[in-house]
Amino acid sequence: MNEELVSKAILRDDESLIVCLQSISDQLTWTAYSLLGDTEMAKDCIMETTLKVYKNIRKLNKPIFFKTWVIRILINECKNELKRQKRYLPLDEEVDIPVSRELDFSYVNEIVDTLPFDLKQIIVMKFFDELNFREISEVIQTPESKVKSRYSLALKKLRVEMGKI
Amino acid sequence: MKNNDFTQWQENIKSIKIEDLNDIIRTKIERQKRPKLFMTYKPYLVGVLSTILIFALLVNLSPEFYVFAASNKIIAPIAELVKIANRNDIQSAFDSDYAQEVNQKLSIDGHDLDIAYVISDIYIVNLFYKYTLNGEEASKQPYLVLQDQNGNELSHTSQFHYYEGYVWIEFELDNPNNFQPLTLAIHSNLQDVIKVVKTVIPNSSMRAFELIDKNINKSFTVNGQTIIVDKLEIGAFQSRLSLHTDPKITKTMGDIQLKLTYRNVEADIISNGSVNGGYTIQFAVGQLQQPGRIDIQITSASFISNEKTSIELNLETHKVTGLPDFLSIKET
Repeated sequence: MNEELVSKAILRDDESLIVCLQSISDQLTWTAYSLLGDTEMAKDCIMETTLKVYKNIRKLNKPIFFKTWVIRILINECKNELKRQKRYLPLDEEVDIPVSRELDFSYVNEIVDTLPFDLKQIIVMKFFDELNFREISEVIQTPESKVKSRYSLALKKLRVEMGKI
Repeated sequence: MKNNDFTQWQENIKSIKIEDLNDIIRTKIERQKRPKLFMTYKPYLVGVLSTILIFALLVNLSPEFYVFAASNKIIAPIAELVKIANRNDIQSAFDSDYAQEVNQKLSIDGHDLDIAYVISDIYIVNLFYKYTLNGEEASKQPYLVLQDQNGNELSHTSQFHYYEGYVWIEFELDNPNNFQPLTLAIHSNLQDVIKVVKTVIPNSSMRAFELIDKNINKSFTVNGQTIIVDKLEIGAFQSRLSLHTDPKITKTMGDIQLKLTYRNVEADIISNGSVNGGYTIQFAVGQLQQPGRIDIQITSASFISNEKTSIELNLETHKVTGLPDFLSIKET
């Protein structure tokens, strides 16, 4: 992320903000889609995120955190959307995975979808936003050690579920 | 764990594109621009607009403030801009060589008045002058009195304006102009000692517009009472409508209100009351404004019963009799 451009965006240079957001639009798409499983909903959440970023850009203290800050807003938007649709899974809730499925990679999506939101968001940020643990801990405002343990837990659950297939 | 499947899933997600997302982001932000600009500058805009509004109100409602603003080189253009209904009749008077040169000076206690022109008609005397106090432009105008040659005060109503670098005082004459030379007195009140200096102002009828006198002689019935409109006199700057009530009416007219329409502008005018049973209603539309059509409509008239013309107070009993219905006396 070009920090100079972000600095301009913070100083209310709309064109710079547009360029900054466009430079991470793919990651935003993957994050929103992998959390919601629907492009239309992902688009709505990205639009809402864009609006919030635009309105609050001056609150961003350090340009270096632009990407993680935007992703945090997007993840909250997705979380709210899932709650609205009553599809939000808290950390302590387990979901049964249907037994019969096609034997291609699409079942991975369904398995990831059964992960509690707090675990799923870490997987998404790790694989699609290419954030490291420190950055993820920034995004979700959770200690890095906890992020690491949740990531391990998520992978373990995925391995177990995928091993059943 | 089937790593291959997991990788394929990742690649599949990464192949997903939201059509025109970059354009959507741009549109979303650009649409916010106008409200953002407005919201950012809203407090300043509100402040500036309020200041302009207050300034415009002061300029239009307070002739003294207008004269002060118009004499200040910096704010004069703004004062001229926000001044509503600038009088074009004075410009016409100058253009038609109706202004008489005065070139008289009045000086007393640091007040210096340089009188340049006079423009008069049957009802109005306009004087144009420059004024300084102790050598500087003053924000407050001096106390000026218009008199005849015998020292009788000719006007009790005056208004200040500003015209082409001159202060313009408009004296409304108490009685029709007899076109005799005038005297202008300036009063100085320094250390509670009032000093007066005077100068003679020409007031020739040669430069006066002839009064247009239109007989109307029409009667109207308002609340069962008859009002007769006698005539309309049109001067250079002002017109006057004369009317009286039918002597046979059973009530006394208190007030009469008219609606005047001139060049699609409406104005409500209230009479100043009766003088010897007659009413004169004046309005600032004169020949120099080339009025064309003036519509005058009587909108309301109030009448007071003639039955009780006096109120009696018994000093012994402290009882009051003869009060009209709408009036009562309260003991405190």
